[in-house]
Amino acid sequence: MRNFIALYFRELENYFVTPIGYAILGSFWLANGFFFSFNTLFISAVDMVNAFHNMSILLLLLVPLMTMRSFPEEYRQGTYELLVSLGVGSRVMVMSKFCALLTLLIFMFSGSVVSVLVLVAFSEPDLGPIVGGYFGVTSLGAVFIAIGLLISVFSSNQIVAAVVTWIALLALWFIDYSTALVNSKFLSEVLIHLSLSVAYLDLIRGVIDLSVMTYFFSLIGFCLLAASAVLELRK
Amino acid sequence: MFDDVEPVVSLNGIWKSFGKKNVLKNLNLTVRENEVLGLLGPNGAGKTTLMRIIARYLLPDAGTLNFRKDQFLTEHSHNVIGYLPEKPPLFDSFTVERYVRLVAVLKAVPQDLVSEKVGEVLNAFDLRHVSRNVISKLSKGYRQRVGLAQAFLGDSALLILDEPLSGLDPFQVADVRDMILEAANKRAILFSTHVVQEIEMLCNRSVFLKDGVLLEVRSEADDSALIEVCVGVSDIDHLKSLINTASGECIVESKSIGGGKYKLRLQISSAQKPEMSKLLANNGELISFREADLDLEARLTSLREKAS
Repeated sequence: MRNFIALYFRELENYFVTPIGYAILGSFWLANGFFFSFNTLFISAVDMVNAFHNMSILLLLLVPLMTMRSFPEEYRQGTYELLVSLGVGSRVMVMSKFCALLTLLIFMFSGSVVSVLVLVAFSEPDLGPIVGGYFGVTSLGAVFIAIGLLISVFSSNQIVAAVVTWIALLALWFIDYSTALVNSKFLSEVLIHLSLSVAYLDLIRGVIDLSVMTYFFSLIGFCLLAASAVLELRK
Repeated sequence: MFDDVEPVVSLNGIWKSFGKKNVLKNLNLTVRENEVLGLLGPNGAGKTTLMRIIARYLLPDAGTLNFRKDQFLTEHSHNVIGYLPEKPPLFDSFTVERYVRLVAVLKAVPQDLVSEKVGEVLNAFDLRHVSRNVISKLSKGYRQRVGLAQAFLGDSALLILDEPLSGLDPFQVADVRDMILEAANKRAILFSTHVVQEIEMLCNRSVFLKDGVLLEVRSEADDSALIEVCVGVSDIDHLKSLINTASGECIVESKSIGGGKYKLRLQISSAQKPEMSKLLANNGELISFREADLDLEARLTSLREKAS
């Protein structure tokens, strides 16, 4: 536990002693503020559905930038070798990075609470779906992070890790589009269920579907366990 | 000298391969407390792989790696090893002190001792004045010193140092040499280098790794001597058989220098010298009998030739 806490804070610190954390937070808050203003001022929407949808697109762009350094940087600096020699387990390494990135993500979303306060000040929004939507977008972000971490374990090059993560996330986001190419009804349904964008549709409306959450958490669990297993195999 | 001391780590029948290439072949090695063991070998011989296996960064394909039980079973088992890889493993975005503190926590240094232990290594490696500097801005020499500081931190029973003196200026080299010798009073040290003089100055024992096979170069208990003899004799073959009967296969070299005189090089123990000189005098004309001054470099050359 001591190792986990030490590495968790090291990861968090790592984002804020370099410009990376500030650049990611700044760009997210700026883009999010712009989209929220556009929705409220021009479309007159008094809910967060569009905002959550926009957040998911921003996550698609930003999460690969957040996860790309995770393991390639450790390999480059030789610190992965040090951590292993100090007896730090691969699960502790993976979980500390995952939790630190999730914390950064929650910090990102906390900036968007300003939008909710504006809505509450000038209208009477239904807060239930908004809270549910935040839970949904956080879960989606956690899935993206887990996938990004798994990919970063394989690569010693940050750019390669980011590009492959983008490709993987986009593939899982748009996988339902490929139903037009398959004849089997069963296969079409499988593809639709695998699609993150389809699963996410209910979540941004504040509907917590147990099957969607099971899918998300299974995906997170699989990616994190696979990342730990790959690290063990490197030995 | 060290045979009666329990090994801090012992490797038995270690094999390691990458793809089809066998990097380590049935390797046996022990490192004991108070011992500085030098690891020599050409590039690609498997030195780094061997150190990585002892540091538990790599797992062997076959064979066993045993740490001394009282340390291995301790609650803070990962404090057993202090490890400096060839490239210092540094968190570039951290300050020197923050980095060393983090390593102290990961080495399970008790919370109330962290500041004291960190202070000790910062002073020992003359890093106090750069303790608030970001590591990425440090020169190569300072980076090496930070790497050494993290390796020496804590009470690791075994220090594994992969080319620890590279990148240091001559004054730092002398300081680090002293630190290694001081550390050897209570720890076991395994270090690799390409500089034979470093081994001569620091090591009680040295081993030479070539193509994954380990050969002993020099041990402190080693009292063997290389004797150069000039002898006049009518039947050299008879003399050789007498020598071999008396001291085993000890003739390293035999050369005729004309006039019924021969130059022989004999590898015998110091205790056998009087007996050998007597045998040569009784069976021929003993012209000279002296011990050759064979330094480590010469031993290495001879080992390399033997290994080839």
